[in-house]
Amino acid sequence: MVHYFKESLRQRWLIIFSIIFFFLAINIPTLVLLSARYLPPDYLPLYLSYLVSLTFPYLPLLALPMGAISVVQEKESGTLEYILSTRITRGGYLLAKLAGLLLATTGVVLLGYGLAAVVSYRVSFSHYVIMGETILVAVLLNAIMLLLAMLVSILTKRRETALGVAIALWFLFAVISNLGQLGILLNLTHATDYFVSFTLLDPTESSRIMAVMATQTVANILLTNPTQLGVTGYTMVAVFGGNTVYVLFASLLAWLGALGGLLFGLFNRQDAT
Amino acid sequence: MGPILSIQGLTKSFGRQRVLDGVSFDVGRGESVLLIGPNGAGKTTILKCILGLLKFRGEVLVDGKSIRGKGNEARAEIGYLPQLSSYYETLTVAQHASLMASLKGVDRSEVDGALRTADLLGHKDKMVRALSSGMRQRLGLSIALLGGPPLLILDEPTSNIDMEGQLGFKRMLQMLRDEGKSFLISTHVSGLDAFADKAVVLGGGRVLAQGTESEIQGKLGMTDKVHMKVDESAVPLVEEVAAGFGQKAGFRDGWLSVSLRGADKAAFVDAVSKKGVEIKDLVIERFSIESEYVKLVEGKGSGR
Repeated sequence: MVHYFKESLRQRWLIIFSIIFFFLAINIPTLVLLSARYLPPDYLPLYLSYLVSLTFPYLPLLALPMGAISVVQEKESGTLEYILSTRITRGGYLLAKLAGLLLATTGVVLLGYGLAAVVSYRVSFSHYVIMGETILVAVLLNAIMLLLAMLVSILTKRRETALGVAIALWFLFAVISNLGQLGILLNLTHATDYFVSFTLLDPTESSRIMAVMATQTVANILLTNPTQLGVTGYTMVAVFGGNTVYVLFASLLAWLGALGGLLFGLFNRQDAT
Repeated sequence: MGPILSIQGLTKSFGRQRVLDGVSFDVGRGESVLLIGPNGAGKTTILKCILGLLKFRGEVLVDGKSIRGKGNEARAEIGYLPQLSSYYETLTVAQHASLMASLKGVDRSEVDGALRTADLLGHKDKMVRALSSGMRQRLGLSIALLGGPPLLILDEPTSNIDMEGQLGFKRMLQMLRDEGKSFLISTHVSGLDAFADKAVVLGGGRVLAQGTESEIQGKLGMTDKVHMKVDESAVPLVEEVAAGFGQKAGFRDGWLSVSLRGADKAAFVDAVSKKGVEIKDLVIERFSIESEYVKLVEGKGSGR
């Protein structure tokens, strides 16, 4: 696991993403406004919901490419069969790989939001709790994307294919999914059921809504800035009311469980070359 | 005690293509077995099945432990050197060997000893990517030796290294053989037949022949060749003698060649001498499994 953690840290994509993500999270205009004292003292909850909507769609871009090439590049280079010819089990190998990548990418998420919070927000401790909840949801989304990417990695034979599928998945979750939902809403009379299903099938959107709801109460969001929930979040709140967060959390856990089960199950059953 | 490796009815398909079809053979303790066959015969597939890297039908027992049921324990008995030694190029020799030691559950203090055996201790701080092909192969062997496994499985071990590297590598194998290690070596042409106790000849995913050199020779009717330099005038006499052994003699560039089995060779030379033929020079070309395997594969066919 230590080896894979170090290996992940050496990857250029992780470094590039860390820097970009930090600047996304730090939100320079806010920093300028803050230093000029143009921001009200309670701006953070409001700002955080913007931050979530801005950064969450990009979060999968960290885990998807890194996870997608993780196993397939070892298949291509031959190190996979070399490692699996030792006493290590397939499950042990995958767990070590997953843990190493999870540590490295979670570190980026923590650093990105955490550093941004320290540098730009300079707010009271209670506000860091709100930030902490946002980070936790981000970490959960990152873990789901990592599992999904590793699933792609074990199912593909070439690094390029894996990378292509990973980018396509991000596009699906970040762009097409929202367009699809909008389409359903506009075209079907009884669209709510489809809409809810689609939202739950999109962990990026589910976690975004959940993170927005973590920044302040639903009542407060609806009162002050309802657009931050988005069409999807608004519909979810309308359907599930006070249970929305639990439903979303359960769906994310289901993603985690299903992907984890699939990943380990398939890897154990397939040829390791 | 049974064999260190026992393979029974090994069958493997990739999609609809059957690449191994009921392969069975054993490797005894302290025995060196050569797995011979042309490219695509299924040699590497067999090795991967033995290591549990591929799913298969049949049974593979390593020191009596099933690779399917007790994979970890079975693999602990094996040191594996893949055909293309794939390493983590960004590590040093010592770091890579230490990583592999930890994966094998072997104490890292063993690393230096294994590197010394492979004559790599002086290069332990070198980056893996800076190693020559011969050194890479030796690194692979030192990793295979970690934990002192009784069975070494080598996939085309000399195919990617130069002559000098091959000689050094073969010396190392001989030393390990003298220490009592068992070997299963896959090869298409490696010059390792002198090293092996027996061979398994593969063609089209099936075992075409197996046993010691003489057993295979006997089973398949393979022969040694006797080449003798004689005067052209003596050729009819020699041909007559050859006919007595049921063989035809061929004459070319002053050399007469006859294919003969085992003890017939001495009797044939003796008979030729008794006919009063002056033998100016004599060369006996021994049957070699490696040199004959193409004939085996083509002649016996696999039906595929």
